[in-house]
Amino acid sequence: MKGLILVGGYGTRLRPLTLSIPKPLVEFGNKPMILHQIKALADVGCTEIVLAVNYKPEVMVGTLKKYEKQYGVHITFSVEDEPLGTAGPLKLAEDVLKKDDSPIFVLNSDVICEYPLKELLDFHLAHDGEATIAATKVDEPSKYGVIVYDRDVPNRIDRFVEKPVEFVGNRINAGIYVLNPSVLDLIEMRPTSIESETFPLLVEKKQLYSFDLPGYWMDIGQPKDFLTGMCLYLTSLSSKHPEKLSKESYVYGGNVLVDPTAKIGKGCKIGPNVVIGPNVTVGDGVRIERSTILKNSEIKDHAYIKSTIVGWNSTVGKWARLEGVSVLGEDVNVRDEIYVNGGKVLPHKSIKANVETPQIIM
Amino acid sequence: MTTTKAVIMVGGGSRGTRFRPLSLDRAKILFPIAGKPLLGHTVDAILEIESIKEIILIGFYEPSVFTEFISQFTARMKYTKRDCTMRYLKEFKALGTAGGLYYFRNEIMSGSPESFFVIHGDIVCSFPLLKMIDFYDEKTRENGSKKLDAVLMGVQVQNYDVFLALNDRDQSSFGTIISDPKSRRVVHYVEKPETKMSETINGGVYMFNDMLFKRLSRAKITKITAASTNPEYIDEDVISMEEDILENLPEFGNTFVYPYTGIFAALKTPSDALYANQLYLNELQKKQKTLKSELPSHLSAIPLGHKRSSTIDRVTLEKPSATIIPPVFIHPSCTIDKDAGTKIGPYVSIGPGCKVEAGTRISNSIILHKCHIGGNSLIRNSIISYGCKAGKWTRIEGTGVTIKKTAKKHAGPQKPVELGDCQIIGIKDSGNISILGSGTNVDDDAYILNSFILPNKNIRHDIKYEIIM
Repeated sequence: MKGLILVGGYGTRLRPLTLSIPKPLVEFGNKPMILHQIKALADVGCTEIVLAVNYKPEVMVGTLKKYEKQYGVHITFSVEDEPLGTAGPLKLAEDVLKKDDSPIFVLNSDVICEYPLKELLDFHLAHDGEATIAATKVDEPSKYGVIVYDRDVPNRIDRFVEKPVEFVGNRINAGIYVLNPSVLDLIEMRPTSIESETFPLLVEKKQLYSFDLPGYWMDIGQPKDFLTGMCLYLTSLSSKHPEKLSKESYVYGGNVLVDPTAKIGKGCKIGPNVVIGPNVTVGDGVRIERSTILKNSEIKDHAYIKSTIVGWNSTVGKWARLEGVSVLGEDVNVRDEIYVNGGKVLPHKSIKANVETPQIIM
Repeated sequence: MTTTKAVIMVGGGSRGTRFRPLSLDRAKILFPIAGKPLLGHTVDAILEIESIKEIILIGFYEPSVFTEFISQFTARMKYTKRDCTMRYLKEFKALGTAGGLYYFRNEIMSGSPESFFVIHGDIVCSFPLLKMIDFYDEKTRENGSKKLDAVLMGVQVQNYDVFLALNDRDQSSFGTIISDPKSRRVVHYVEKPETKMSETINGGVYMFNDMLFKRLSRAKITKITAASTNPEYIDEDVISMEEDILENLPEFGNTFVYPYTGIFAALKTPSDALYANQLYLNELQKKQKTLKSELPSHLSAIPLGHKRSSTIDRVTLEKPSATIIPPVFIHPSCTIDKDAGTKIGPYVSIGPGCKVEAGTRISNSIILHKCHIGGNSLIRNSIISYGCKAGKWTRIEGTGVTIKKTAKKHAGPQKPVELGDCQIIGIKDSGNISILGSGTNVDDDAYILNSFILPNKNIRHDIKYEIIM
């Protein structure tokens, strides 16, 4: 089987992290974001994976070669000369995707969930439609394109309503699809959208079905949602793989994922919902909650970190306090005793004065 | 000439509103600064004059406010065999800055002191009282047979604009003294001028003699006359030292100004308390250094006739160490866990019976008695009133204000030379410091930024730029 991951651009919404590396390589739960998807595709039996990108992917090639071996998959890049939307990349990769008659998985790289691809595939094979959309339940359907079901055939999609004013349902497109290769014939070789152009064609042909995605779902394309997604991911991990989470005495409230190479000092209180990356040094008396600390960073004694992403090789000084969805880029230095609230700090900066209100530090 | 009395004008209960929330449960004048009440600093400066036998406090507070202070003073005098008494005289109503002096004239003149000091209670100063006495004697001699009206302590402002900024006062908040540069005879006094006329301001420390009561009587008559024609607007009992006395003194030609260049501030608002704490801690540090180096010969170093008394309430500062960045005062009854990199200072005063847990950072702050500060917390530019409890990983912070010290400009355009940063608190009444009223509890992890918390509140969330009633 084959899978295509829609990576798209460099991920400007996740700056300042994506000023240093492309978004798919930003670690989420101590693994590059794209790896969550590659692993899910490999697990369900995909051997051929296409990454649809619209920038030169040199930086990613080396990293991904490593994973080809590890997961026994073949990864190719489909590089768009101009952005082709969400459907165009499929057409561009037609040669690979049409190699055999098996269904094609399509994943959006921003989406994080439990990836129940096996169930999704079984569901797809059980109905006679050409395509299946994974759907997720949302609290505020009025913000999204909502799925309306066919009255006669269960799970068949009747139409989509974009940002409905009146309640028509609470299931939305989760950005995960299974398509028969025949769907590619409906796509033209031009910039085009799968959601607004391809799917309506399938709806017309009564060929589009929806699968209720179990578990959590989150688009983690921006820092605020990255942290929310991290909480969901860790909660899911605590029920599915509790052995992966830390059980040390410093853990408070659970859901703490610590790389074995990280060093944690005395008298710390860490959690709930914290990810600490490889080679991170955490000093004594540090408090961390709802945050991700990326690799090689140093958190000095008595610092307080809440709702923050600390970028690679950064340093947080003694008694510093970071909160309010602050994001430190690569190699940022927050001096001792400094307060940062919602600061988005570009790489290689030194913060010497308090940042009281959310702002970008150039 | 012997000076045997000092009068401290302590102000009144109703006048402490600008010092809220700290004045809600104690008199501003008794607020602890650098290890002792503000009033204690003034009293101890007075006690350095051997000849002083009586200290009179005049104000409008309830007498009970001073009961403890006076009884402790009396006990110390007895213990050190120093012949000096203290009493508090309560005005029947708020009488202004000089009305109390007139009302209690008989009390002040009992025992016929040749001269006496009058000092405003809310000033922070290194009190050059011995030098003022010498100056008074010198000017009396120079003045021939004529009795002086007064010697005023004139604060020589080095950098007027910075000084005003430091004291959070605009130009018009001080009395300005203009004197003959040679003789130091006061030729003009104006209270709260709109324009800058001189760099000498009234420091609120005066030496008077019985002439004062002649001037007060005259002022009183003027007041009664004015009040009889305009009773709704003028209260005949209220006499202002500045407007009713000082502004009239130059015409008699017997008033001199003693030039003073040391530390000076007035304690009006809570942010002034942090500034006062800095000034007094610096003074104490200087004194401790000179005391050490001059100890063997210290008696001979004092001018004859004015021996330094050993009865003052000594404050011992902490020695510099890995934990302490001086100057820091920590009451000996405190428990400070110095493990895990606890770091305190500079400019920190911690009152009796406090407990500070490990890994805590405190700078430029006043913590009153019986407070508990949780581990890994940070306290900066803040005042924590008594009986407060701050949890672990709390952050109680005022942003403070930093202005650059610049060298005095010479003629012609020139780039100001930076002399390094000067940390200054007290630019604004609020918005750059945090204050916890007494008995405040702050939960673990909470952050208080530039906020005032009134007494006995429980703080569970972050508070920024707020006043919590």
